Amino acid sequence: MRDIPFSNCERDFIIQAIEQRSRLDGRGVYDYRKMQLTFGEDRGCCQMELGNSIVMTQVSCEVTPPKQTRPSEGILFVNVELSPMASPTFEPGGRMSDFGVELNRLLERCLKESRCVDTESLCIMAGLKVWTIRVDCHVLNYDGNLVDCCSASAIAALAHFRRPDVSVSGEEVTIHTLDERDPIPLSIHHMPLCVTFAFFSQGKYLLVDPSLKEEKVMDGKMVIGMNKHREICTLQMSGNMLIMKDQVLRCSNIAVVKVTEITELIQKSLQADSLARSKGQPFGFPAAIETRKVTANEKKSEVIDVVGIEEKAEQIVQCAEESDEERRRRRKKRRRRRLE
Amino acid sequence: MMLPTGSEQCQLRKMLGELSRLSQPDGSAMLCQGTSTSLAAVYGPRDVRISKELVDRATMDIVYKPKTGLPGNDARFLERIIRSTCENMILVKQHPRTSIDVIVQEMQDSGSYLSCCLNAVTLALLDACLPLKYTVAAVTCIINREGELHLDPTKSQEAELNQAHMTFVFDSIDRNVIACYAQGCYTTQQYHTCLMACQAASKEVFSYYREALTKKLT
Amino acid sequence: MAVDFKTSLPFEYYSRFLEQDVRPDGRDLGGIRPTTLNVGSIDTADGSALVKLGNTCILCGIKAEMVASNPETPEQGIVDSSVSLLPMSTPQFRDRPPVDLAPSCTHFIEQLLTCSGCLDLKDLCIEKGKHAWNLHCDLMCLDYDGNVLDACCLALIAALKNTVLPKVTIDEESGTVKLDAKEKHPLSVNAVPVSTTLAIFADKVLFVDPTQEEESLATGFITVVTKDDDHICMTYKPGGSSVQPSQMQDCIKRSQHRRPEVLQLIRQALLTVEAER
Repeated sequence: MRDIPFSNCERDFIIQAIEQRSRLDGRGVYDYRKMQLTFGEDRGCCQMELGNSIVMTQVSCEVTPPKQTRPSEGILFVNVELSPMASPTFEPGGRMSDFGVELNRLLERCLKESRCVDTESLCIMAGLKVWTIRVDCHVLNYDGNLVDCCSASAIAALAHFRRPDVSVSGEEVTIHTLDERDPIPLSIHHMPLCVTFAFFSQGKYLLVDPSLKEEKVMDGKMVIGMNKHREICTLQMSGNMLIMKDQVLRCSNIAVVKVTEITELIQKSLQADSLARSKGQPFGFPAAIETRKVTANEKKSEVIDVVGIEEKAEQIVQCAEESDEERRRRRKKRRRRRLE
Repeated sequence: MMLPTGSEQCQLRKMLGELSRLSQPDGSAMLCQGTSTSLAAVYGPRDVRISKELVDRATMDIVYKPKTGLPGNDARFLERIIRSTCENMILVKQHPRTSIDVIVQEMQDSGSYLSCCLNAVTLALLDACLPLKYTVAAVTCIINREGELHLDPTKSQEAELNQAHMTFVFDSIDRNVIACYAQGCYTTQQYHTCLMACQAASKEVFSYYREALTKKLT
Repeated sequence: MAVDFKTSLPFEYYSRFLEQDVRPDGRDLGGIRPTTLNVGSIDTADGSALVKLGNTCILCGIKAEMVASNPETPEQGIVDSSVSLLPMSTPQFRDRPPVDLAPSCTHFIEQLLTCSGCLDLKDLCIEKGKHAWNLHCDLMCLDYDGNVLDACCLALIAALKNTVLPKVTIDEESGTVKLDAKEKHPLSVNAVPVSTTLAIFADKVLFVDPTQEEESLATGFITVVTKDDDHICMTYKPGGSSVQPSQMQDCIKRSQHRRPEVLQLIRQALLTVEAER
């Protein structure tokens, strides 16, 4: 379905509001929407909610031959799926849209080229076998600022992931199952996170974490990928606008604060998850649903009455047997009549 | 065949769901059965691409998204079951020249996954307020190596050497069989016992739908 | 006149016939179209079969390839299967190919192979952890006139029964593997699953072996695969009209009646091949 165009009236309203330093959802200029991280039961599964934008990332691994140019390094593969459920404008299946390609490239740059995952530790046998780590980001609901949402959920999922242990003796490689040996976490050097800034009125006004409506009316945006050590990993500017040098510096200073906040949130959520796992408390998606909400509902399991079903089943089989018999008899009769 | 003796074997796991989980789709639902979780979203009836347009009824488009990698044959197989089930459930003839899209996202597969997906889709359709002929409830069961029946198995129970693995889908009016996917090695007697057990269990699922919608609409 | 009626009101046309318990092509509700089976029709394949079920025509070829065994299952061989519905098989596929028909058929066949236990994957192991057979089972629909699942199932089993594998000798010292093209041994097939598909018409009438025309009018399908005389290995009903448990039982019964006929057909086809040798 084509995108529904924005009315001029609404566009002007949003821009006017921004000029008066207020936003539609009542946030401050530098505020993020409410962030929530949920980890799944599987290792390496993380769902990130940023307001209404929801992204789920699953990390998986397999043993493959390495790239010929880098025989002693594992491979990191990043894939962003714009699921048709996320927005009515996303087409199901087939080719990826320009938007999807841009997002994928940006995330790849943020994760791969910042070398945040130690790929050398993923080597099993140089030149023959390495681990390929696959990061699948599924966009479940699109309400603006996917880049930040994807990057946070991807890095959290990578930190949450455990790969099976391997042992090498001679040329034999044994992959140990989860029962045999505890799986191993990936070694992650740092956590690069993206922070998006939207610019309005030729760069005069700037907003952090634009929502879908704000994205529609903005002149352009700048994405800064940074880790908590204040190192910039990615910087991308797009849209039709020119901004001053000071703006870039200002943005990177804001990014420092935001990245520290998000990193803290990820660390805290990871700790909470591992605590719940070790204590045997409920974790994963069911634990994250708040039953207080009117839209949520819980039903405890109840014992189902199965008394007498065997007899019922027998009856059905018997009945069919009888009717089958009858049918055969009728057919025989018909045949006999025909012969006569 | 031995009927389940323990109470754990003849009960469905805890059901926990959230309607209108996503803001963009017309209807959506996340459903957890035990820890098996799936997310379903419904769009429509909305405009349809001309190449897919049907003059007498709505086009049903079903997409199943696995968590890792690209969808394979199993995803297509699942889509086919969901499509045929939905086509009969939704009054497709009432919305000609439109498209109704259902998207299912795998969130966590810990056993009885086909039934979890189908139940999530039904909840999403109810959430989207589409006129339905009836609702459907899916229940999975296994016959384990000892020949015992086990309702709503977990992933580890499914992975054992079982005699059979069956999923039944029932309608809410007469509790007749809408869809069925049963594999393994079983006799007709065993098949019907499983069918009856799942039919009895489907009552729980239907009452869950009712409770969830009552809570949302009050 | 009848042709006009058929094109304008196909549903009413069919219901008139079904009221009398017959179908337009002269079969009764339990009637199966004439089936022919030709085994070993392709020389270059290790096993092959051609099935004609009425106008539906399925060709199955099996090619065995020696591969390095999968490290996760060192004691087993590999079987992969694919069903392809060629565009030439029906004019219906040209403008709108059913995206999920061929993949779901493939999945069905894959599941059938595993749950019927007709092949023991350990038989396909040549040397533990090193070499194994990979059987590629390719099913091609040459002519599509309904009920591909049954035809595919029959073609696959007949082709597997026809498959011969070359004898393998391993040189202990050098570790090289030799294939002996002259000495061949047949593949052991442990079970013969037989599939029967029924279509539901107007939510109530059940009939066996639908043609393409009947498929387009049907409101649901039920496929039952029997493993032996008492056991079923698969029941598959992908949505559609609802049926009562007693109707399900009716379907199972019909598939059990069908079984001896199909077994006889396979036996005869294999005998003719033997005789030719």
